[in-house]
Amino acid sequence: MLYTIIPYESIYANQSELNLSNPTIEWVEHRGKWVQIEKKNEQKKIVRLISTNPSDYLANEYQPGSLFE
Amino acid sequence: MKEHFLHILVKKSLRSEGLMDSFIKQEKAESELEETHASSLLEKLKLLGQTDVPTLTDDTNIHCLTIIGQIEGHMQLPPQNKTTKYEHVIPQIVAIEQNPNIKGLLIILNTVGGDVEAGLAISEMLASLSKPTVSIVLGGGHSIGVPIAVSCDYSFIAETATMTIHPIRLTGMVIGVPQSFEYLDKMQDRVVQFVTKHSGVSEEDFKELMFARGNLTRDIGTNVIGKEAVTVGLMNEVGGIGSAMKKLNQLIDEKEVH
Repeated sequence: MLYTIIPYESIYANQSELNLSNPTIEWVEHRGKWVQIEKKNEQKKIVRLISTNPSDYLANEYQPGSLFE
Repeated sequence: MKEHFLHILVKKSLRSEGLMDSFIKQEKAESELEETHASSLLEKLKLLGQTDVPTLTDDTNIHCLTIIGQIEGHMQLPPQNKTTKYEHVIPQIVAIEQNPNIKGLLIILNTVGGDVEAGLAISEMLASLSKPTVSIVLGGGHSIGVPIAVSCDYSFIAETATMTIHPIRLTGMVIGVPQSFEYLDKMQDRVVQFVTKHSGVSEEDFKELMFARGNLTRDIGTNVIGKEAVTVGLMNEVGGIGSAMKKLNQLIDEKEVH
């Protein structure tokens, strides 16, 4: 059950209208951290990093937009 | 004797020549390195429009958990929603509890709410963590973000940040049997109980905020901003990262003394 200030119709808005050209985005675990990557033409680009260690966000290899591995 | 001297001289000059050689090589390598560094910098600038930031050492003793967007539990929300996922957050809290190098945890909230069970689960995990925890609400800590914010040992709210307290509701769904209403009421009660137990607000006051009319445009409830959240007893103090870090370090020191 959702308890949120966002109206349900916004959360469950029609998806086909919102992302017509959605590139494949997936979560991978890398050295104990969660990294969201975007796959596009064999290239893996970092979209988002999830870690509780603040220094991970300063590491060059995890900067959003950089290439993964 | 003379021959020996000459030999040394030749050896010396050879060595210096070698030194010179390596010096030139080194200089060359350095300029190449600078070039590659410059190009990688350029690449990064092209990628994001931002450049390197100074790096911390790996052994940071304060970890930070950010809770942003919708809190996602049992149901996977459509991809247009930015979500904080249960399966990401819970193992992180377990890892923080287990890692002896981590002394404290800072929770940064900017959430619009989300799944009740997942939100309460995160709140309970944080409340039962044996390490000092401090939360900051930046921007917003609405709905199920409220119990998460108050679950920490000490809670801060930024001056401009808001928290919306409103009843749990079902939009677009007709309550067919009285049991459904009872179920909803019980679920709401869990939130109320948690918040009143972990903060300075009384059940009466919290419910009054929750069911107040005329404050929100589309709903009943109250939107408390910065200082108001402290006045009603929900949060401990108005402040930002500086005061939160100071408090967390103080709590860590206190814990180490005992």
